[in-house]
Amino acid sequence: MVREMEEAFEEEVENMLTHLKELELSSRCLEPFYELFEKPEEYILRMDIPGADRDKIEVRGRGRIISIYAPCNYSVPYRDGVRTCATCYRLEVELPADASWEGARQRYKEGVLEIRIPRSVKEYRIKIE
Amino acid sequence: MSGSVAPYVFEKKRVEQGAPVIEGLPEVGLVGTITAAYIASSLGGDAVGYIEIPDLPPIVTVFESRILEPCRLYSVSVEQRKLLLLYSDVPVPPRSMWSIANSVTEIASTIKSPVISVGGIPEPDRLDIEKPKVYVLSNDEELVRMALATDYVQRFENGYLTGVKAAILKSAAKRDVRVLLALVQSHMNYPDPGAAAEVVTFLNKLLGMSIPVAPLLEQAEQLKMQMRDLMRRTSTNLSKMPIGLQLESPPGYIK
Repeated sequence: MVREMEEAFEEEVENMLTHLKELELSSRCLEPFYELFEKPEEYILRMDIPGADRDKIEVRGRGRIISIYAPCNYSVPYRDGVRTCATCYRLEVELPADASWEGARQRYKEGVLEIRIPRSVKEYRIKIE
Repeated sequence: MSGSVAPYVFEKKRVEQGAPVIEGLPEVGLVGTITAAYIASSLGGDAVGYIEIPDLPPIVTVFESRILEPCRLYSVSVEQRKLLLLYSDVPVPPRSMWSIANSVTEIASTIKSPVISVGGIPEPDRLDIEKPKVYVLSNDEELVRMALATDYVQRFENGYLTGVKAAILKSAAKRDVRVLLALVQSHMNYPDPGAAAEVVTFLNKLLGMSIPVAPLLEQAEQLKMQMRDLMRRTSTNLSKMPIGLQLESPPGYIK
C-alpha cells in the first residue's frame, strides 16, 4: 500500500518535471529555482539565475505579486552537439499580504538574486508585568 | 533493506590497491558531483566500472556518442598516486541509498582503501559567506588527525547526517572500512561550485595534490547551468529525506 502510494507520487513528480522541461524548451524561458524565507521584519526571496545579465534584471511588484525577468545567455551541450539556448529567466511569486514594496532591495551575487521585502505590519512588544 | 548490495562492476586490475575512493554522489548543492566531475575532467580519468542504481528504470547516459552507465567509477592518476572517483549523472533514490552505500564500502573493502565522502551541508546564510567552512568526520581517528593537520578544516562535532553519507558510515562499520567525510557549507538547492572549490583545496592538502582551483571558479556559472537539470531532480529527491535534520541539533543529553 505504502509502496503504491510512493509510486503514484513519483509518477506525479515525473510528469511535473517533464511538463516543466517541455515548457522551458519550447518557450526558451527558464523558471529559476527559488526559496522564500519569512523573517520577523522581512521576506527574503532568493533564486538561482546563473548566466543572467546583471544590468538587465527586472524586478517588479504589483499587488502581492512579485515578477522577475532576467535576460540570460544559457547554453549547454545537447543531442547533436548544437546547444540548447534559453534567453531569459522568468518567475512570478505571490507574497503574503503584509509584504511592503517600500524599502525593498536586491542584490545579485555569484548567480544568485536575493530580494528583501519588508513586512508592513510591525510587531508590538508586550511587557510582562 | 540495509543489507542489500547494489550490483557493481569494476576492473580490479586497473584499480590500485589502497587508492582512496572519493564518493561524490549528487546531494546538497551538488558539491560532491561538481568535485568528482572537476577532478576527473582536470586529470583525465578513465571509466573503470559502474554501480547499478536499483529502483531506477533503465537509463543510459550518452556522452560524445559513447554509451555510459549513469553511476560510474573513474580511476585518476595524480602525481604518482591513484584515486577512484564515484560520480553519478542521476540522483540516487532514497530507496536505493542503503544498497549503493553497501556497494561503495564493499568496493573499498576489496581494494583495501579508505572512502573519502565529499559533499555539502546546507547553510541558509551561504550567500553571505565568502569562504565556506569544511567540516570533517571519520570513524577512524588517524584520518581525522590527518585531515585536521591540513589546518583547513574543522571537526564536525554535533548534528545529524542523512542520506547516502549516513548510510556509508553505517555500512563501513560492518565491513571495517575507514571513512572520512568532508562536508562544506553550501547552498542546499542551487549547484555550488564555490563550495566544491573549497573541497578540492582540502583534498589537495590532504592527499598532497596540486589540482588548480581557479579554472573551477572561472567556470562556475557555466557549471551551474549544466548542472541545472540534475539539481532539480536532486532537490526533488532530497525533499523525500529528512534533510532539515541537518540544520538541527541533537538533544545531547546522553552520550
